[in-house]
Amino acid sequence: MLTTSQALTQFPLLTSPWIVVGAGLCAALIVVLADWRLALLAFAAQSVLLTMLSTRLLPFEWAVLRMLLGGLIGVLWFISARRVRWGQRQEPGRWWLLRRGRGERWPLLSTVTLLRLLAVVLAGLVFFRLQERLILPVLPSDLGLACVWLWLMGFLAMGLSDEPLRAGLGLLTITAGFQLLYAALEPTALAIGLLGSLDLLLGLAVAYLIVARGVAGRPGMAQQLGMPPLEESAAEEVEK
Amino acid sequence: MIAGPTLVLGLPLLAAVLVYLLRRWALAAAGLAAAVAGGLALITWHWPPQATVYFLGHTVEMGQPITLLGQHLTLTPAARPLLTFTCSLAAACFLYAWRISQGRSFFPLGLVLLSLLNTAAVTQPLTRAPLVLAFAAALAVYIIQAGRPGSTRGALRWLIFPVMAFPFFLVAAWCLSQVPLNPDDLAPFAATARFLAYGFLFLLMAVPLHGAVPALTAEAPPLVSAFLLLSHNAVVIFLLNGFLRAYPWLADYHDVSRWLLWMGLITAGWSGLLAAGQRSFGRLWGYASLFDFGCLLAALGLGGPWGLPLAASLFIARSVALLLGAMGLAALRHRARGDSFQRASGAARRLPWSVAGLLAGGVGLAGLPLTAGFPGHWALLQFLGQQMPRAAIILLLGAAGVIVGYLRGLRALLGPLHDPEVEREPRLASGLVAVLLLVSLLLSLRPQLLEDLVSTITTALGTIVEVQL
Repeated sequence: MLTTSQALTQFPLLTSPWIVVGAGLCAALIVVLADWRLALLAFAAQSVLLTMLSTRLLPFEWAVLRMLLGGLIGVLWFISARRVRWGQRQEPGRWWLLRRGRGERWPLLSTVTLLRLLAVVLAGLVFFRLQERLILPVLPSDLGLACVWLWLMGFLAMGLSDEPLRAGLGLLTITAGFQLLYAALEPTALAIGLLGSLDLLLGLAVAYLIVARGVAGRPGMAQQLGMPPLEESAAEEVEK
Repeated sequence: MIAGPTLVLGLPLLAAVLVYLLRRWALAAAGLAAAVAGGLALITWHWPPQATVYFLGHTVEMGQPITLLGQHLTLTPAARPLLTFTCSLAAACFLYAWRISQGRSFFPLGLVLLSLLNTAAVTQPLTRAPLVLAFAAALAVYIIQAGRPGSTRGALRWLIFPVMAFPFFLVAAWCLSQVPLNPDDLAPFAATARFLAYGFLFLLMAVPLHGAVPALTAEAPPLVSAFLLLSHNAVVIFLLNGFLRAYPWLADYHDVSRWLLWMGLITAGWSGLLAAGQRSFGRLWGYASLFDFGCLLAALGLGGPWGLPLAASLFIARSVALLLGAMGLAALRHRARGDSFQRASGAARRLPWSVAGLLAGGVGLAGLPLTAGFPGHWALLQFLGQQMPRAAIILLLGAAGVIVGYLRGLRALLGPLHDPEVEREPRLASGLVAVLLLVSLLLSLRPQLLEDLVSTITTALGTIVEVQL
């Protein structure tokens, strides 16, 4: 009788190169997208696609753990970011103010997004130029390339932003790439459990930092969330 | 029967639960945390790994290995000085944090971190230890941020480097496991050496990957910074030494001494240059500590019979100087509500002991005479002056940069008082600073006092045996 994972390998979808392309695209979107909700969505989609890829190396039940973790972390970050109204302007942009030349500029396509897109394109060019040298011998070639691409995008996401949400997405993209590689090197429950628990701890730490960053300049919200205002906080002796 | 690792790792964890419940009562939390950490320091120092002792009605087999989550944990003679150091460092930090708060979470999470750092020190094989450091970094985020709304740069950068480093070690471990399958194939050896080098590049946080250090000292509570910097440095140097002794063939693939020497010189020169232009004591202290770390790496890179003892004596002096600087900075931030030169203007009149500690700690990291750092830095300069005069000049220029930075700070501290409401420093805090100042002065005048300690450390580190593949 076939086991779950053996049965799943019968599905051609799981070995389809489009899954690798999809995972790579999601990683690139994490770097490029300015809207944090869309970036989180791309992260969740990347987790699902990487789970599908992992079924080629791991038993299905273990691979699903990645999806659960990715989903959990995504929800955790979404709630944290939502709670502190991450990325929200102090004053909502109003078109009639824009027309009269007052208020903020309409963010059709920010220069930051363009810069990120350019960085991803450049990274992509370097990646395709060097892809023959980037093959990891322990992995099927498509998975090896996916690993390297995830690392590259993770580094870019971290390098292009100091904000916890974006840097956290980059960090978890790097660990996701590594987990794909390590699933081939040491496919044991212990290794998967340890790396998964590290991911969860990282997710919690970044969620905490999202909240800490998000309540900056909002003393009322800080108090509401149990973060003492500047003068009362034990560590607030640090002056910015 | 209790195994040694269970005691060393379990006791801080158990205490952390109690301390967490008591965290709102600073005296109780600090007292309990300091007592547990100090007690562990005494235990690891006095009970050798081969000892069997009776403790609270139980037999404790210090050398008995345990297996936890598939990791083998053994209290080796080599790890003993490291365990004693991290525990006593934690005890000193907890004690000072009673009077100058470093955040409520510091006591319980500090104990959990202590347990994790101890785990990294006793983990076998060594390739698994960086994974534990990554766990520790994920927990350190909370005490670095310490409930402070605003910039998260320090916490984030401290988190990133160990997380980037551990995959290289795990892959290196896999490469090592491939060696017995085909002993004639040299490729796994070369791959292991390459991955370990990448891993250590991230773990050492030297220039150009030094961004975490000034960010940490600028944003984290000072005692937290000192605790994290010193314990991380100690564990990483222990691991580096351990790898080089356990796998001596690594030297065939990389000229480790040369790498360390140049990495140290670049770090010291660059951070000295940047220190001269800083305008806040937090960042200045960070660059001064980086300069000192560069000197430490250069000493390790010297190799030979003098390299390790010199590095050990520099590390002890570094610990005194960093703690002194942290205590001074903590009091300054607490009372002057900031550490920028502008905010700290005139603070020397209200906080004389803290300011003395801050300055002595800072220039001690540069190796100025009459500070604990002087004998080690002087010896390093002499060694380098004989072999590589240009390297000695780089170190001198770096030290000059740090001293210029602190002179600029001193000018501000002696200037007109910025805030007339700055309160005087707490007595216990002044007392602790005074004691450390005395220790620093004593170590500068009588460096031979460290001779036994340095010899114990180098002997212990020399007990790491070569791993047969």
